[in-house]
Amino acid sequence: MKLSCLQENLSKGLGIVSRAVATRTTLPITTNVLLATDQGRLKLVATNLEIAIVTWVGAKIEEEGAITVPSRVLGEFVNSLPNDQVDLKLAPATKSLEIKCARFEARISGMDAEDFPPIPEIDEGTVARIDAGVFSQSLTRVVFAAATEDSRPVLTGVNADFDGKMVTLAAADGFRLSVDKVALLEPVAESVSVIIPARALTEVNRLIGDSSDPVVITVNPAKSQVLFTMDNVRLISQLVQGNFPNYSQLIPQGHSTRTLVDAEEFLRATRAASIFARDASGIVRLQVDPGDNGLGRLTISARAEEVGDDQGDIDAKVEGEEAKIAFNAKYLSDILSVLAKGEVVLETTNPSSPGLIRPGGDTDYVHVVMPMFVQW
Amino acid sequence: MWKIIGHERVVEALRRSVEQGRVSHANLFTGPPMIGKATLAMNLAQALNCLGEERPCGECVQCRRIRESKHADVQVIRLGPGLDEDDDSHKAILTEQIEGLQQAAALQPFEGRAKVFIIEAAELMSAAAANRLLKTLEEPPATVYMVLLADDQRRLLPTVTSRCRVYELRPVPLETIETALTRDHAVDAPEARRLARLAEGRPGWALAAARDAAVLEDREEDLNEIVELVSQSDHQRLAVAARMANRFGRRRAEVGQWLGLLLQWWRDLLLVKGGRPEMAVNADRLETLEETAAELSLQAIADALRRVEEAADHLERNVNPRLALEVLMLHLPVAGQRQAALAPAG
Repeated sequence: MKLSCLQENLSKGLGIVSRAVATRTTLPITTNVLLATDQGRLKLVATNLEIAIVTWVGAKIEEEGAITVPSRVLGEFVNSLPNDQVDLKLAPATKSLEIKCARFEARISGMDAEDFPPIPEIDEGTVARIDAGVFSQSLTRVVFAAATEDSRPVLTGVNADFDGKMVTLAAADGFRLSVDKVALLEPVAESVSVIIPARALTEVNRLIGDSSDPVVITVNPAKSQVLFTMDNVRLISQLVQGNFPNYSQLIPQGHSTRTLVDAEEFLRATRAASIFARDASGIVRLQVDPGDNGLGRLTISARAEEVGDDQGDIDAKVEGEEAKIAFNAKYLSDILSVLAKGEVVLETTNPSSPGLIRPGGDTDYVHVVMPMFVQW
Repeated sequence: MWKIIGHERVVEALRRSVEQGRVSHANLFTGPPMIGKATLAMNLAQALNCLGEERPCGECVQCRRIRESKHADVQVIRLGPGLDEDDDSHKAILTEQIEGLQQAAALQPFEGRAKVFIIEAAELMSAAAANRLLKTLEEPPATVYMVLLADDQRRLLPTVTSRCRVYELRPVPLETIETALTRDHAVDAPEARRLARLAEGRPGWALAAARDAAVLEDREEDLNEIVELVSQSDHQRLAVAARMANRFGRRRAEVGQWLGLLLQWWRDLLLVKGGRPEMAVNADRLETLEETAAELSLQAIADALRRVEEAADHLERNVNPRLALEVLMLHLPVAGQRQAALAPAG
């Protein structure tokens, strides 16, 4: 293998794939990044056996070849080089990669490319295309609700249900549930339902970045892997085995109070209350006062015995009766942070039934939070 | 072809379950160290992923990658390296390792058909780790197979064993090991015979010794020391105990092996004393065995054997290793020159 490319491009490419490099692993080669010549370009690959990321860097190839070298060493070294031409050369006898750039020279010991886990080629299966902005917003609103610890593995994933022209994404951790239904660019050939690891989707969201090119999602026929094709980057994720719980019955169908408030004001008051809630099992109390003519008030308060208490009022348009409910401060600020701007709707029935939060306006997104039981 | 020396019955049972697609998702292989548990587990992992006709074929890309420990779906969980004193990872398999396993088990296989997790020395799982594993053992995802390896089934939690299909590997007949060594591993006949006898039914040990001369050299060195113990002063014996206790802190298994060798030597002494020298493992030292045995009573030899077993048991129960080994050393019978030296005074 012998080629040259630009430091800037190589550094960017290594940065992209480094997100998939394994940290703790039983297979040492997965801490390496694979470099291979591929149709006139340099292909970079990393995998932690859960996800794999592949990207390409423009290069002038003189000799074909492939090698794997430790991702951290190569990444850090390339980052420290000046923005100039980088020459890469494989010394097959020692399995080391020689790097030359400006007046720098380095040799990094590697391992055989053949020993690298084979990255699945997914060239058939169910294909869905989706607008990058729509997908990114949906991921932001859903993925955070997935469980992080693994006592129930299916909950560490996001259920993706492709049906006709729509995809429904759902994540839950036992205390909260996020469901979003968004449009695909064209209908899928057959409906398919898979559980994608939340970590993989977080990376997909990061990789979409500001790109506006549609994201192509391919689920392989065996329903064991999913491929996300983005601008010059591919992410392949193993799917989670098992059945996602039937969540539709968890979404409250009715409510006795509907409160419409400004998202930013609600978030500010919640964050203020969190300061006291920290020492009070995270409890934040919400009280809804319908007021006159629908011009009511939402009071957000928290009280910690040893520390003190706070209370914040915000304007609210209220339909229905007076209500009170308590939530965990973290869950409340998580959901309000991802909704960010505009109006949010809070629908409640009674202090012991789940609350439903959704953005104001026309959307299929819903977020359900379990209440906390408190003495009022 | 299953590539393993001996264990025909277990292999046949596994072969049939692979053929019928009825391999248990939770398996436990038990038997003494180096008897073939890990080899059998590797073969099973190959059989479950093999692309060939007769599984495992040993030649397809899946079989090859599994054999070379490069397969992404076959993971071996074992004791960590234990980098310093505070690090417990060389004493027990930790909860974090089991959690890592469960995280990987939740995903579909990466490159093969089945995910196989092999837990080496499963008896070393901490109680918390073992309990963490129960749920996975009980209802693993469809593509996941667990293989636990353990010296002794009784040292595992009953809740673990009851969830596994247990395959017990017994010592392999001397002739089987001897034949395998000469036929498949190009070992000379006399050497094969000697290794097969010293292996005590453990093909893995015979193979390791055939491949690496150092195995036999280390054994000889340890045995020389063990042979001399009987004629050594208390002072010398305590020095041995101190050295072994020190080794125990870092590499537990080595001390276990040393005790095994000690037990073997005293068993040989008992056999010689009892008039069955042809059954002695250390037949190449028959002369020394006879000399030592002549100076000791049957009772003394039997006591020594009991003491060694007791010490091994104490070490397992986390008795202070130095104390346990010192007690053992002080209780081993006295013979040879030392006895002669003591005799006039006594």
